[in-house]
Amino acid sequence: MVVALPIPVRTEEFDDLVNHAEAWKVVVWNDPVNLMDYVVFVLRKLFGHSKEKATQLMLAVHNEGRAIVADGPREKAELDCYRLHHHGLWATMEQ
Amino acid sequence: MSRPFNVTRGGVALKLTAEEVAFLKDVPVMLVNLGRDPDHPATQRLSIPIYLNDPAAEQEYHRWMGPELEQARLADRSAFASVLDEAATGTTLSVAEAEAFMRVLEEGRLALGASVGLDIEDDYATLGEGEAAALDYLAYLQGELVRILTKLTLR
Repeated sequence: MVVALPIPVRTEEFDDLVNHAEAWKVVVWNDPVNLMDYVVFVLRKLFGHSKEKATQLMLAVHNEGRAIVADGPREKAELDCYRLHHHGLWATMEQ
Repeated sequence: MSRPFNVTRGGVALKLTAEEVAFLKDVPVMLVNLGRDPDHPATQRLSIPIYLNDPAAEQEYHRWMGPELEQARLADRSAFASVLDEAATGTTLSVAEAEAFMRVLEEGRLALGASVGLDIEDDYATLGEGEAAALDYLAYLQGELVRILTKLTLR
């Protein structure tokens, strides 16, 4: 007997659940030593941000103490933190 | 006063005085010495945990990426030292060497800042003359390199 199995359909709700479960945020924290221009340079170089976007993020770090500079799956966020640490920035990750 | 770094056809031209070279050669030495003490504020600053509320995940991350980061920093310091050997007579850095040079300046500033208790920007006012001069000089060089590397790699 052949049984017709239901064909799984990917819904928007399912995608939202998956994306939420995977999304990690990479946070850069303010540091009294880092130069503003250096932070902008690093954010542009590592994440390909425009000068305007990188400047906006740097100012958020400076004025508000922290900013989310990237997000994505856990492994990517870990790699982003590693690259930021290699450039001296104070980076952590959170969900 | 001429600028220490300039864009040249082969990359980044660097020329420093003998006094500047002597000062900068102490930066990797300082980093190695401070790195021997895991409880020193400089070592702590250069080893930031990425998971704030998950010690097991942090331990796992550190087990894999800690040695990787250490190797990357050692490679940067090695490039920094090689470049300095030629800097008093004038030399040309590739972009990769210039970026390594810039990261060691950053590492040196972070370690120095942590060593002298620079926790917030107001702490600058409490620094001794020598400490402030050292941080300012490293900041000057780093700022110059950022300007040059932005021109070379991001425009």
